[in-house]
Parts: sequence; C-alpha cells; structure tokens
Amino acid sequence: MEENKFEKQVRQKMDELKIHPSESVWEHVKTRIEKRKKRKGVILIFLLLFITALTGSYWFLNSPDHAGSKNNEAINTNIEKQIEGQEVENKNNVREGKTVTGQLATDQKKASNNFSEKVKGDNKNFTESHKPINENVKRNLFKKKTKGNLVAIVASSEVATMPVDEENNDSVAAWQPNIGNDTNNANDKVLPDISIDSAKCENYIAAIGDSTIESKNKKDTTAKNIIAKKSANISSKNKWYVGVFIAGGISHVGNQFLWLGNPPSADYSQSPANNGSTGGTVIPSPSQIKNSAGYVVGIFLEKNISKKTKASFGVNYKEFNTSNLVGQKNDTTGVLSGAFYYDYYSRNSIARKQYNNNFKFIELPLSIKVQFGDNEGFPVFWSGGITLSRLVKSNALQFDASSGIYYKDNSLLNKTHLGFSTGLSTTIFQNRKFEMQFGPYFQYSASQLANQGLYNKKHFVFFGLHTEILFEKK
Amino acid sequence: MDYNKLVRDALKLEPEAQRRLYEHFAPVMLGVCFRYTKTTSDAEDVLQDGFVKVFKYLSQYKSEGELGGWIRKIMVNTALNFLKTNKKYQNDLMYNEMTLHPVSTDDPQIQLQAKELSELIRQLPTGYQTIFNLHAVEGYSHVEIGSMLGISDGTSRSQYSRAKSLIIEWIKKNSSQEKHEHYGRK
Repeated sequence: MEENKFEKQVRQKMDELKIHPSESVWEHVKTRIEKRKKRKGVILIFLLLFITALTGSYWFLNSPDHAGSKNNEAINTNIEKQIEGQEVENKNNVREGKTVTGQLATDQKKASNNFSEKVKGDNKNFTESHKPINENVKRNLFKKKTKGNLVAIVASSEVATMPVDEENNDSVAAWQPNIGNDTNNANDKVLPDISIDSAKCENYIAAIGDSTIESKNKKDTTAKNIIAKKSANISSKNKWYVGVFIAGGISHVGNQFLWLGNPPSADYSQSPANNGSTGGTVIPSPSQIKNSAGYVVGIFLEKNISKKTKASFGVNYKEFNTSNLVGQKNDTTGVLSGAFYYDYYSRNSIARKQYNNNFKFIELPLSIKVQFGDNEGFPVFWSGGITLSRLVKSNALQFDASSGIYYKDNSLLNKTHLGFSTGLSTTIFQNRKFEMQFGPYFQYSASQLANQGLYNKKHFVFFGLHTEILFEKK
Repeated sequence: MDYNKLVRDALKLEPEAQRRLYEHFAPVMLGVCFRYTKTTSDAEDVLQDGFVKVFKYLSQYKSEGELGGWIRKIMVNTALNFLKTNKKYQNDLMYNEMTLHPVSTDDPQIQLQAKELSELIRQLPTGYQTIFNLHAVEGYSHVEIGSMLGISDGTSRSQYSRAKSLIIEWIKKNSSQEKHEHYGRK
C-alpha cells in the first residue's frame, strides 16, 4: 500500500537520525539525579534521628535514676511533714515534763531538721563525714539513702529519740558520724539539761519513749501509705507512656472547611469548553473527585500533665485516598511490557473506570487530651492537636484541560501540610499492662493540597474511628 | 551491549552505568526530541527531563521489553507534556477538525537525508507536527492519538492528511530544486 510505503520510508529515515547532545545535558541530568538521591537520604536520616530521639527520650524518662530523682522530692516533703507531726505528738504526750520535753522537742526538731536537710541534698557534709569511702561508693550510698522512703523516715525518728537517754550517749556518739557535725552540736545542747535530774528524766523519758514509739509506729505506717500514694501520683505524672495509634475512615478533599461538594476547580470551569466557544477544539472538564478510604497509624509518647489532662507527641504514617473516573490507559501499543511512569489516561467517556488517587504522608502529631467528668470506670476523653505532615508519595492524577488527559505530576502538589485533629475516646479495656481507648476521630488539613491543577485550593478532610493502645499502664 | 546488566548497575545507582546508559541512548533520543520541538535547545530540555524520568522509573522497566523502545516512549510523552506546558507551543497546538484533503497517491521516493527530513517535519505547525510524528514515525493509530491528545480520531486523521500532503509537497519541491541544481551544474 502506497500510504504504508511513505510512512515506512519516513520511519526508516527517522530511525537513522542521531544527534549528539551537548555535554551540559548530561551534567544537568547527573545533578538532578544526585539531588534526588540526596533528598531521599535526608528524609531517611531525619526519620532515623526522630525514631532514635523518640526511643532515647522514652528510655531516659523511664530509667530508674530519673524516676528516683523525682521520687526524692516526694520523700523529702513527706519527711518534713512526718517530723512536724511527730513534734506535735511529742508535745501532747509529755505534758508533765515541760522543761525537759520542750527542750527535747526543740532538739529533736533541730536534729531532725538537720537530718532532713542532709537527705534533701547536703551532699557536702555527708561526703565530709565519709572521707575514707571512695567517691563512687559515697554516691551510691547517698542514692540509696535518698531513694528509700522508709530508711529515711526511720532514721529521722531515731534522731529524734536517741539523745534523751543518758545511757545511750555512747550510741549517740557512735551514731554521730553518720549524721554529721550539726547533729552533734544539737546533742551537746540537750545533755546539760538532762544532767540536772537524771532520775526524773528517766521516768519522763520512759513515758515519752513508750508513747513516742507507739505513735511513731502508727505514724510510720500512715506515712508509708501517704508516701506510697504520693510517690505513685508523682511517678505517674512524670512518666511517659508509649502508645500505638490506629485510625481508619473516609478521606476526602474539599474547597472549604467541612464542605465536601467537589466540583471541578475554577481552572476547569472557566475553560472554553464550558463557555461553548470551543471553535472545534475539545477542552473537556475532569470527572468529580470522590471520597475514599484512608488510614493513619503511628506511635506516640503520652504524659499526664495534670490529673485530667495528658499531652502527647509522636510520628504517624497516613494514607488518604480519593477516586475519580478516567478513561482508557495509554499503554495500548503493546510494544513494551514495562510500566510507564506517567501512565496517562484519556477522558474517554466510553468504558470509564474508577481510579484511586493515594497520598502518603509522614506526620508529626502534637496533642492534648482532657478527661470529662470523674467517672473512673468509663472515662471519656476529648483530644485536640496539630499535625505537621509531609507528602512522601502520591499517584494522584492531574488533568490537562487542553488535551483532556489525566496524567501524573506530583510537582503540582504541596509537600508540607499543617493540620488540626480532634476526637473523642473512651477506655474500652484496661489491665496492668495496657489500656485501650476507642472513639471517633477527625482531621482537617489547613494547608492547601495544591496551588494549581486538579487539587487547586483543596483541603483534606478525614472522618473515622480511632483506637489508642497505651502500654505499661499500672 | 548487555542491557539487563546495564539496567541492574544503573539501579544500584552506579554513576558509571548511568553515564553509559545515557551515552548509548542519548543521540537517538535527541533525534526523537528534535522532531517534536522547534529548536535544538528545546529538544535538549526535553531530553534532559526525559532522562531524569528514565532514571527515576528505571525500576519499573521490565527486562522482557526492549529498553530502547521503553526510553523512546518516555521521551515521546515527555515531549508531549513539554509542548502542552510550554507557552511558546501552546498557542500553536490547536487540533481543529478540517475537511479531508485528497492525498496524492503519487508518493515520492524520499531522497533526503534523515536530518533534512526532520527539518521539514519541524517546519509544520506544532499540531500537524505532533500528529505526523505520532502516526508516521511512532506508528500510533489515529484512535490512539485521539486518546492521547484528547481529540477525536477524525481530527487526528484530517490533521495527519494535511501534514502529509504538506511534507510531500515540500519533498517534491526539494527534489526538483536538487534536480535543477544538478542539471544546472551539468
């Protein structure tokens, strides 16, 4: 056939056409390839650093040393309260020996205060009284003394009662180095008063001793409970819990907040095809973008910032989807079996099929959670926060109005997005190891998905259900 | 040349393999880009964009297909996108349906060199040039072209017919000029 002969000749001639490009073309290609490589590397490093920081901070915040230092504050507070309570108790019990007991109480307080100051952190005096001990051992000893609630309280009680008995002067002397010089001075003041009438004193002391020990035991038990409770509160307040976040629902794009009607963007509605002045040129409109499934998964760290308020941050991976109708895919020549990068689609109205546009993000959420009411059995939480997300991959199709084809061009999409999230949740399961919360979840992207093209000035909206699993809940 | 090995090495991001792949295919591909554009600079821009995409999506290439054909297809599509997005070409890129011109069956024997023929193709208006390239050189059917460019196959057919008659006319003119020059010299 003549027509084929002509085309055959043209094809043969064109196959012979070879033009050597200038060197700068390869240089540009090379630069752009390396840039892509670097960008991938930066994203990977950023992710690794973030995960390391997250793991590191979790480990640090839950390490025994860190928890211990926090508990010390609780212990010191309780020791002071215990001492004050004991002082009042002593005053009430010893009504008959006002001179002696008054002196005793004062000295007990002084001695006790001295010890409590030591416990609070008079590391210097403590260290001086333990000069033979090497530095590491001293540090460990101090840690043990300050960390153990009971050790500190019992010691403080002993400080208060010891000096009253003359016969125990030896033991006071023997005990002094463990306390320090200040306690020694306090005891010196007690001794002259006691020596005035030792027989009377012994009787008083016996009375005081019995009641004091009795009340001391009682107080110790109460103090133990208070300290345990307070320590637990402080510990849970300062502890970071690690959790997993999973949400599934419907994702959609809209031009305005909560307005999901989705006509073609202004770019297309203004096209000549819609004004009826095509002049023979076919400039069609794209099909409507419809909602589709989406999900968010991630890990987070949560901390109680007050009795009913929690703060959390983490890292999520989310995939939002939309769908639209497209025509035939343009790989019909069958010359190659390889997939093509842009896989463009016609708008052909015959045999249109649904195309799923996916948008994959890495997201950094920061949120607070507030508990409603006092119902501990069925607590309801409201959460709200901000999310910073980065679009890492998308197969979304754009639409070219002049030719009426759908094609891929991610350069039209904005990569960084700021959004808001909110949700309600309630605890549906809880045991010593973990707690599970469940409820509705909503997310809105305040940033525009694109500044041109099919997604011009559109925002992502996500409705769904979410669950949070918090580990090590005790 | 073992293309499979070349692709494997290029996928490992070995710069030497990437360079070899580029150097092997660049001259032929610039020829392709040259036919779709009006200037060499534009052709090189298309070539550059095309090769960036080749390396970006090389993992999607399946070795049972012909590598050159796969790259060529990318170049053609990059060129089409370039024409659509470049303002210089946009105004000229109109696909108006027109009355079919009777095409002479007296097709000339093409005596021109490849470069000369490509220069003639580049002289066509952009719309004609694109359709002529897609049908006569790439071998796409008018239905496929219609689908690719968002036009009817009738529009593609009529525009091709016009483009072909113009090219034949120019080839004939060129041949008679050459003959004239040839006899003149004699």
